[in-house]
Amino acid sequence: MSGFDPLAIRVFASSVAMIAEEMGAVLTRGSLSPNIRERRDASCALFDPDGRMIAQAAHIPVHLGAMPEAVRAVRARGPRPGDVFLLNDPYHGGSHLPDLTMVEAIDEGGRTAGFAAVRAHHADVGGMSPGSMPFGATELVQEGLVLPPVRLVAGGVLDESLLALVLANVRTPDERRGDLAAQQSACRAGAAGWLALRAREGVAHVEAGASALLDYSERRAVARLRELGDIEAGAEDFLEGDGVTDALVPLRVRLRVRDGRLTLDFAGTSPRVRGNVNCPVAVARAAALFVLRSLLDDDVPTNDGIARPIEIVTPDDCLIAARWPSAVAAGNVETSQRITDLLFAALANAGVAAPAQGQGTMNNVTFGGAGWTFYETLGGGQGASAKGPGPSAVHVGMSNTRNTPIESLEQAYPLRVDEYSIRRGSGGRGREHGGEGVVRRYRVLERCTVTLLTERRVRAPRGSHGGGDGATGRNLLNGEPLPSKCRIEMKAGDVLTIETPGGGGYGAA
Amino acid sequence: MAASVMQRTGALDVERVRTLAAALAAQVEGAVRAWTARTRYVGQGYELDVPFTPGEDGPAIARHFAERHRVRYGFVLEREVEVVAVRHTASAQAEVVRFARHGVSAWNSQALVDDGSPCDAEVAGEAVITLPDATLFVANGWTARAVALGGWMLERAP
Repeated sequence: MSGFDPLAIRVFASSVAMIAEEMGAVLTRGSLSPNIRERRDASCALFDPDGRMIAQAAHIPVHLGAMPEAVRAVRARGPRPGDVFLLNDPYHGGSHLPDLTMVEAIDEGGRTAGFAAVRAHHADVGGMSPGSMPFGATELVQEGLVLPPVRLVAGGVLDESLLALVLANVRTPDERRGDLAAQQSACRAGAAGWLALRAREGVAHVEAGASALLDYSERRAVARLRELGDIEAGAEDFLEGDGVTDALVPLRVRLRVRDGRLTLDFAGTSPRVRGNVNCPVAVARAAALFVLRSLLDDDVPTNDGIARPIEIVTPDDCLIAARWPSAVAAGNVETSQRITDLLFAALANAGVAAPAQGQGTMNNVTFGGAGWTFYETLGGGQGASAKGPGPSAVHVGMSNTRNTPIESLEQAYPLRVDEYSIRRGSGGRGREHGGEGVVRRYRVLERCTVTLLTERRVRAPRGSHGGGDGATGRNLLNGEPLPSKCRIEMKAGDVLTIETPGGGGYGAA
Repeated sequence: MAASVMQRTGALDVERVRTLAAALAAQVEGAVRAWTARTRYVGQGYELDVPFTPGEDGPAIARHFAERHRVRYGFVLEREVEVVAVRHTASAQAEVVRFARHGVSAWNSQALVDDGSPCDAEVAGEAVITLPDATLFVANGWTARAVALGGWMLERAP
């Protein structure tokens, strides 16, 4: 770390973090779909020539640990300087199919100086259900077009035939074309920023800075783990069905901290299931990173260094280390939430101050009609903690998106929002109250298909230290209850109501 | 001055653009006048400001937008363009503003107190200079030079 004292590391960390932030600004300003431009369901990251993640804009936690997998998969394909790859295959660097990831090998005078990566959740990538977040899928190929890392730009030339192939397999090709163009633009912005930094500060300085930065984050993470002491505890939680049956799906973990290293052994977790709540191990890694990140101070730079002290152990056949051809659409969004709950519960069982459970679901709502698809997730209650009440109507855990403004939604799609309100009384009671969920009531103006992938409709978010549980969520079609995961056909005038869960309370009231 | 428009450029003929521009111009005095259209592709959530002149129509504004979009984002789309708002600025000869130092006490190279009085001091680091509203630390290897219009320039030794 010669030449990099804490102040110099801080300056360097801000330099690279701002490049990632600028990538995000270019993406949101240039893209078309509300899910990317309004809800910011996307992440931008910068990697050094060795594929180490130097900075990620603080967008989506579930992308946090998974983006390095994407760059690793691209590097395995032998990218040439300037090449841009596109991928979404969960078993080759992706997470779930709607997350299209673009990776540019940054060209610095004929050598690869690093990688700029942009992952964005597209509102449709084909498959059996509009919006590509299907209910009832049992194979990956049912969920949409599968893209292993493919070279979209080679030698500076866009492969129009490859792009045409992609666009021919989605329901909203114009919107996809625009969003992909914005992703490429964001990659270019990242490349330009990275090259400018290297030109201004010198290549040797920047490469040394990258190593110093990663080492610094690792030291901070290890120091925090050492503060926890040598601890060990287990936890158990469940998913409410896999999308094919309603049988509970168990997740179990044994958490162990020894000398600044965190080991998470998921022995006892369900084997792969028929439905699509499976997830690649990158998602489990992202959840582990998120939980460890939440234990660190805000000023710790987010990069690969935080991941170094984490070891994840999974059985051969495991829900959270899925293998082809398992379906995974809900695993990225719902199983990731449950892993997070599980890890916080294990920490609490080990005596670490952890908050009560939050809503524990992303409340995935997908609409699809003639020529349009729309996807969003909904906020709910966050769990209370010893420090204070849980915030209301926020995205909790692995989702860090914003909401879709009603004006934007109504302008873009044949939908009206009749109600969007705080769900009073849904937060768990306690010395500190859990956050309240929301009520979102949609009226559709034309025939369309709706898919719901939700959780915590049966098992409530638990309170902590004597605090009350949050209310379970509810899904309603014209006032009649719907299952937590389902696909329904709606006609003009029908009303879908989603009531999201509240967070658990903390301490006896 | 600004006015909401929310129309696609295809619906804006020369007369409509001229009317929009004139309505804004009538509200403000000034010799030098400029108009911009806040413009985006239909479906986008953010706009780019595109200069235009009365006498141009919507398609001309769309062409200006595409060029600016290409420069800013590196791509254009075969997609309709919409004008969210138009803006107008009218400027006149501005008064000349001159910044100068203004204080009551002479510079003292021992006390290193700057109350804003005229001075042309240079202070080599390491040193601390007291300013009217702040404290300036000059690190070792740096030199602080008083600037005529107020303030200090910090320069690192080569």
